[in-house]
Formats: sequence, C-alpha cells, structure tokens
Amino acid sequence: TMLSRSSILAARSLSKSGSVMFRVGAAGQLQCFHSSPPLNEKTSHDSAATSHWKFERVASVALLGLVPAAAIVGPNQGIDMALSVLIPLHCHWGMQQVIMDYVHGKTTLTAANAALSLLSLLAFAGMVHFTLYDVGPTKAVQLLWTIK
Amino acid sequence: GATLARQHMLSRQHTLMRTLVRNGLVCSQPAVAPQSTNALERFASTRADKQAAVARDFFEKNEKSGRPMSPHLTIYSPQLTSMLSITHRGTGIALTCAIYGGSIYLMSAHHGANATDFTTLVEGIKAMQLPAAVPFVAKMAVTFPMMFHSFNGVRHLAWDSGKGFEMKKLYQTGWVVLALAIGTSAPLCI
Repeated sequence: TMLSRSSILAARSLSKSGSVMFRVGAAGQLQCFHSSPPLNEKTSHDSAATSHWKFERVASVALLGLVPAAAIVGPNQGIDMALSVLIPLHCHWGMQQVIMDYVHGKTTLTAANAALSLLSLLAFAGMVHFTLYDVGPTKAVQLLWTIK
Repeated sequence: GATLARQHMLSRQHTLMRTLVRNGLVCSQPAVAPQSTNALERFASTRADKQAAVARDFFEKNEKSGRPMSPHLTIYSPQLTSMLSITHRGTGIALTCAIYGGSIYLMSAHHGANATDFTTLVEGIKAMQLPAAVPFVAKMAVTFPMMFHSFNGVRHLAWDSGKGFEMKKLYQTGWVVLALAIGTSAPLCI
C-alpha cells in the first residue's frame, strides 16, 4: 500500500497534539497544518463540556464532605451558606441531564430549561433567605427530627 | 510525461486522503475554507451533504409512516445495574423536588399576612399529635433517598475515575450500596 504503517502511526501521534489537518495546496502538494494550538504550547484549554463535567464532580465531592460536616459540627452559618450554594447547584445540573435525556424538540427543550433555571434560582434564593433569616438547613433538620 | 506524472501524483494524494479519512485523522469536511477547490475537496464536501440529507429523509419518512415501535422498557429484564441506576435518578429527582419545594415554600411563608417561621411550623406539626408511625415513615421517605443517592454517588465517582467497571465489581458494589442505604437510614429515623 502507498501509506506505510509507520507513517500512519506518526500521523496519529501528530494528530494527538491538537487537531492536525491536511489539505491539498495550489500546486497539488500535500500540506499539513494545525487547526488548534499544539499541546506543547501552554495554551490548551478544556472545552465548555469538559469544564462542566469537571465542576459537576467537584460539586458532588464537596457535598459528600459538607453534609457529614454539617451533621457533626451542627448549626453553623458558614456550612449552611455553602450548602445553600452547592445543593441547588448540584440539583440544577442533575435535572439538566434528566431534561436532556427525556425532553426532545427545540422549543420544549428551551422551555424546560428556562423553567428549571427559574426554579433553581428561586430555590437558591430560598435557601440563602432561610440561612440568613431563619434557622438554616442544619438546624431545620435537627428540629424536624425532634418530631416523634 | 509531465501530465502523466501530475496525474500519478494526484491519484496518490487521493489515495492518501482516502486512507486518512478512513483512519479518522481527517474529517471529510475540512473546517478551514479550502483555498484551492480541486475536484478532491469538492467531492468530499458534497458527499457529506448528501449523507446528511439522506439521514434526514430517512427519519422523516419513518415518522410519517406511523409504524408501531418495538417494545423496549416493557420487555427488558430488570437487573441490579439498571435498577440501581434508575433509582439513583429517581431519588435525585425526588430530593430536588423536596428541597426546591421546601425552600421556595418557606421563603414565601415568611412574608404576607400569616407569616410564620420554621420553629412555629414544627411546633404546629408536634401539636397535631400524629401516631408514631407517621413521623417514622416521613423521616424514612427523606432519609432513604438521601442515603441511597449519596452511597450510589460514591459508586458513580469511582466510575468517573475509571474504577469498578468489571461485571463482578459492578454487582458487588451495587449490593454494598443497597445494603448501606437501607442499613443507615433505618437507625437514623428511629
């Protein structure tokens, strides 16, 4: 065959360093260029999807630490504020995935996402309000548990 | 002589292009606007357009025909993996509804003519003197989803770091998650 195995492997390792594109130039010669900066420059960035995925996991891990901390430390405005931010965030991102899986069609999708964003904003506001002007989530759970 | 050499070179580059596309190194529609539109590039871009049009027509035709769909959810045998997965989603949705509903309600309860605060509401529920089973069931309804979602969440994070995908591990960790969820929620609700 015209293309040897070693040159395909060389081209593949080249293409890992960003996107290598080939094109045929004006004189009919084969040219190679990068369509995104190669990784040996310190400017490679995550895509929006990759960042979103990362922040979803960061929030999840943070919550796994925060909820036991709230249970152990007890009512604390710092922990309650952190919960008021992270719980709606985690719920919002989770519900976004559910909507993406089950809601189809461009208009219904936009409507569902808009409704979710509004509810998440209200829930966040509600939790912050509850932390500042009422007992806060940790004390609230403790109080609820006194009901026998 | 020269024409033959040029034709030979073009056919070699066509073969190269074809091999590169088939090996996934080049997309058949170049993202950069080609500066020289030779036959090879025009061939590659119209072919992609035609494939997209064929796909669109296929789906439209199928929807118009109104044919029944094969059963899927109703016939697939339930397994630990899928049941735990949908329970993770279900508990997540339930907890979201509870938290969102609760926080929005409590914020609104703080304002208006009959404004109350949380402590007053709890006193009100205590005054109802509910039979002991009711608070226990209500607590379980909140605690079990919370425990299950948290433990299965750890299992999810393990998957995200690449661990635990072997069949045996999936089932072992699955049963552990279920046992932990039930085992921790019951004592917490007494």
